[in-house]
Amino acid sequence: MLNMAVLVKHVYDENQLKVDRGSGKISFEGVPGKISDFDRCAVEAALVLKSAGGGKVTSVTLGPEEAIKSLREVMAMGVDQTILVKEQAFSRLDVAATASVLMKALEKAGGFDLLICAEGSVDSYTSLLAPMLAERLRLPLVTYAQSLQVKEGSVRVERVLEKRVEVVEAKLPAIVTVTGEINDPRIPTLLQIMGAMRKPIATFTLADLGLDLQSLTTGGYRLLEYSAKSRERRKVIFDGTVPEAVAKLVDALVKDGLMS
Amino acid sequence: MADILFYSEEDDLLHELAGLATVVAAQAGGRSCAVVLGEDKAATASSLASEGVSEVYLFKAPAAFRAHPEAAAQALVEASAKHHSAFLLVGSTKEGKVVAGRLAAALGAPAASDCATIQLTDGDLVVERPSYGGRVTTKVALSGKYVVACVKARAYPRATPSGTAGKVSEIPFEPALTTSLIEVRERPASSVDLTKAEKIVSVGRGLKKKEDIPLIQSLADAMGASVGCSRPLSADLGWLPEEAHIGLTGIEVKPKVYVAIGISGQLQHLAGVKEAGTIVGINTDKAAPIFANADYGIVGDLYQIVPELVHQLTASKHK
Repeated sequence: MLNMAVLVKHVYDENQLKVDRGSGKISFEGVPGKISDFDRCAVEAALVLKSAGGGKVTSVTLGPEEAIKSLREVMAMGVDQTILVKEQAFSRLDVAATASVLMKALEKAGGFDLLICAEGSVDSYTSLLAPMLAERLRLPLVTYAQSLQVKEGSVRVERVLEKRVEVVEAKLPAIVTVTGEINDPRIPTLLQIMGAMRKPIATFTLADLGLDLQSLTTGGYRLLEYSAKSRERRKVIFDGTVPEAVAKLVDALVKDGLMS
Repeated sequence: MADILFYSEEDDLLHELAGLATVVAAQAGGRSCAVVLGEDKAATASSLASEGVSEVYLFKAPAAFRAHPEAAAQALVEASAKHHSAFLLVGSTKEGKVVAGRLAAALGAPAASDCATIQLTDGDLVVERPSYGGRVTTKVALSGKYVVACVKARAYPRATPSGTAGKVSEIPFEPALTTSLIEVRERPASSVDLTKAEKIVSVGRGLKKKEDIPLIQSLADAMGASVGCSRPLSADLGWLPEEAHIGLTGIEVKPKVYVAIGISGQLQHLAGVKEAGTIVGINTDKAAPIFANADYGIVGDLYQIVPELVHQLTASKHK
């Protein structure tokens, strides 16, 4: 039986961040959370493998109490069991510390044959977590999968890079990261969502895993500031009939010297 | 006093890192050293040595392995051991981030990817990187015996020949790889590199069918622009090649003028155009986020506006 683990991250909804226009400072207070978009693709990829050849899917997350919402969502999709490592100060952990925590949590889950995660999380999008886990667990890693198959103890992946597509094989246990293009994640039915509300979620604290926040945050990564220095756009809307509006636009572009 | 080590499997990026590394090395009072992989890369090594780089470690790996991130991480770990402390700069490509993650874990070093700026401040490497789809800039200080920063393409200018003669050290190398490459297909190069285009006409879900692409192309022709698109058109529908996909998971572009047609302007798309000079939005929905993120906008049907735009642009050329 193929034992699969999928990493999930509960993130702030980037469309609802509050930005102070003057200072460019960001406030995360009261911003709703959601599952990081491409994690649903990672879950879907595991569920597809499960329905093809059998197996078990476990999802693991590190986050605050609210991260349970994302775990309920993947259970509604069909994930068998979930683990939350609960830490309210999760945002103080850099990617290396996150890797340390998730390694312990995966161990608690009983290990895996195949670990699937998204190519990046929509908040920080470092794409560094899977390579760090692969290095520390001494496992093969295949990134940016747009399709994957498991056969006879190996995983075969078609991976998409900037200038080429590669077909790569690795022996299990292995880690695979998937792109947002690999599949269209299923949308659970109301019945499945209700069913997921009743399923248990195994919850651990850092202490349960033999870790502590203090020693996890002594690495050389110091967050100095978040800012939103996005360029203010002019937001001029040209109205009138189609020929009038288009004439105003062409006129503006020509005046800006952009049509030469 | 830290040395700078740098690596990229992409030649352009490697020369950009050479420029950055020599500047940071001068500030840090250290040496700048390149890691080059592949027994067929002697020419690259010697050109770096003439660009102010103190030393080039030429790892003589079989050519077939030279882009393998596992091999590159191992070479960088081996090169790091020659330095008491080092700032390690890796080109922030897809493979580069794999190299950086493995490298940082192997060295127990802090790491940041997609860095747009790199500065030496009080002995730390201070970097700025995008988060939340480019809406937020995160500023981070990296410190320690070794630190790893992935540097974005085109963030720094290429190094130029300086008349110096750095050392080239050849190192025999047999990487230990855990994955096997079965097949490689070069992706068909698109006729134009959108990352260098000055004008881009981009189209999204507002386009009703593939057969309407020539309408968008006609506007691009009238403007002397290249054609790009939002994610659904390439990834989901396949109407345009993946190389044309602009956004968070596609390419990032910096044209002087960007015309977004039938694109609602989700954050994932806007992340790819935040450096554009002037953004023009054309969309039927006046509440579409594109208008809050555009310089100029017209609310209306692209099937009426685009032909009129082509007509007026062509007419104005003949005036």
